[in-house]
Amino acid sequence: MIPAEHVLIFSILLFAIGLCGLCSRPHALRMLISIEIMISAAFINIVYFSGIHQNLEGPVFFLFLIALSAVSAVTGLSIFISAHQTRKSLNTEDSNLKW
Amino acid sequence: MNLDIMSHGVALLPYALMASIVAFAIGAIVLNDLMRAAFCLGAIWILSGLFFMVLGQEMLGVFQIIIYAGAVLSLLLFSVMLTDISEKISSLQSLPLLGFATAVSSGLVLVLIKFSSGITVSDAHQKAFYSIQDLGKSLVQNYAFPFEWISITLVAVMVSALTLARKDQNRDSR
Repeated sequence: MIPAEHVLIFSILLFAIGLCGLCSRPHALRMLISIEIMISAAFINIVYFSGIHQNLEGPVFFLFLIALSAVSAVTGLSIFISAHQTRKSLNTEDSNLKW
Repeated sequence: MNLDIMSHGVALLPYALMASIVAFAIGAIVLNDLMRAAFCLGAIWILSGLFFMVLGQEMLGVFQIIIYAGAVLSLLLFSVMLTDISEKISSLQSLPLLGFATAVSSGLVLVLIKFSSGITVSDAHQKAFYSIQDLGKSLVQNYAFPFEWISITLVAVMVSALTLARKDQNRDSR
């Protein structure tokens, strides 16, 4: 069994890479890619700890979360395509998005 | 001797997968070509699925590869192709945001250092502790409502994505 510390360090590293990508690139699709990397880090933790605790809730919730994550990706991509049709750019610096 | 090499290889496999995933994640962030970055993300998803299999969760690994590396990656690639892929290269968006990212990452490492001694890992071996029948029964019996809710959400998102992404004739004629 891989020690939990190693998996946690790995997932934190992956999450940090995604966070740095999210904060450093202004392109919307690049931001989505960074968010997906961060979600992958969370999934790795879920799967590892559900294996440790040996209960069925972990895999079931992983299935729900993977469906919801795919839903968020699909919604984001369709919004980006729609934004590209109107603005001809996906650079977030060019758009005046309000919080 | 051969068995020794084999056992070392099996023990090193998860670490090799972890290193590859981190390398592809860096590639997805650093590469300027969006298409290559999307392929790096696909490699991360496939390797994550293999990592789940190594952890003994074969079924979740298969789901990860089918849903992410199959469906979502193809959608992402089509989105990259449909939109302008010539990204304006600006490596740093703003230094405060990068500082925030570094601070959050450092905080996570500190939390890990503080609490990692309390994590106890059982000697449970890496093997599946459930079958697909157990998973199916649990989904239908114990989690029927969330399961149906997810189905409705998927249908709603499919319709809304179609509505959002379709070409607006009125907008084009303007």
